[in-house]
Amino acid sequence: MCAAIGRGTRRMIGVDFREPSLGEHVQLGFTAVLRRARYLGPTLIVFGLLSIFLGVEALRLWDAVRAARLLEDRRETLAHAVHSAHVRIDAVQARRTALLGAQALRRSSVLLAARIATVSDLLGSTMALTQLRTTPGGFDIEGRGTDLIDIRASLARLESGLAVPATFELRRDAIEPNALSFHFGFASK
Amino acid sequence: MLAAFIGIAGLESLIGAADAHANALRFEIAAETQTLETDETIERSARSIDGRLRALHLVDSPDRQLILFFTDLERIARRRNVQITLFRNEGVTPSRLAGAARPFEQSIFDVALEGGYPATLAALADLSSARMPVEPTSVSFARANGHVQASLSVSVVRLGAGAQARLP
Repeated sequence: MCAAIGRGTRRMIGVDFREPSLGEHVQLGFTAVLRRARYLGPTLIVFGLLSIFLGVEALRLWDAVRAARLLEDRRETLAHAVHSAHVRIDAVQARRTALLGAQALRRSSVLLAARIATVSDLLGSTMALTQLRTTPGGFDIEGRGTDLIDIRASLARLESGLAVPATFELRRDAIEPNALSFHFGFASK
Repeated sequence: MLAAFIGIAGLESLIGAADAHANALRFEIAAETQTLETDETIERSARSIDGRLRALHLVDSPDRQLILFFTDLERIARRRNVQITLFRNEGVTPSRLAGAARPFEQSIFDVALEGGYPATLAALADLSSARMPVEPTSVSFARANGHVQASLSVSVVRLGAGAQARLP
């Protein structure tokens, strides 16, 4: 390169065919290098910037993947504890429901006694309550009387005091022909 | 240059996907932490529920329940001045109260009480003061000379073995 620069220098100088000095060689050489490297700088800058961007992006990706992996590990740790917690919560809920059911049962005997008292009062003195049975949807009563008119009056009282019976059955007693058995079914009120 | 831009765009989309996954995990962890907090709260109420279940003798053996029920029945009969003329144990069956989960089983008792009409009704109502949950399912009444004989079918419930095994 230096030889070429030297030849060029001599041509430029033209009339002066003297050998250029070392300083002139260096100066001209430097000028030529700079001319050729005119586009190298910006290209290097652009590539450098892109490399920095890529590096930063790669670091961000690594960081995001690492964070996700850490979270996955934590979730795995929690999963077992959460499963046990769900089992415990379900068991406690079942026991709470059972307790509520049992407490409701305790009150059922008061309700039964009250029902007997109400039904006996409504039936009147000429009718006798012989059986009261709780059913899933309400309760049934059975009784005996001797007079159809009394039974009709008792039914009217029951309808106004309790509810309209869902089922009604009247039978003449096989043993005592004068006696009438009745059976009313009530839905829960 | 183009390759570099494509590379950056690809990396950005990968970062976005990783962030979305991390966010989903964060929500999941938050929900799981909430469940664990609920579990801590429910542990405290579980102790109270267990205490009440024991107080109601729901975890006692059928034999122990039988003794307690008869003792309660005698106490009620003395207080209301009625007589116990029948006490029979019909055995242990699954309770109809149980529903789908079937946590209860029940001992069926046939009991007959005899006394005055108001006293018998009061004795029936007093069954709610028994130490364990007692459900009279049917009552037969026979009235004569001011006296009533009430024949009851009574179920005494207890937690079934399955429900007791699920105790935390």
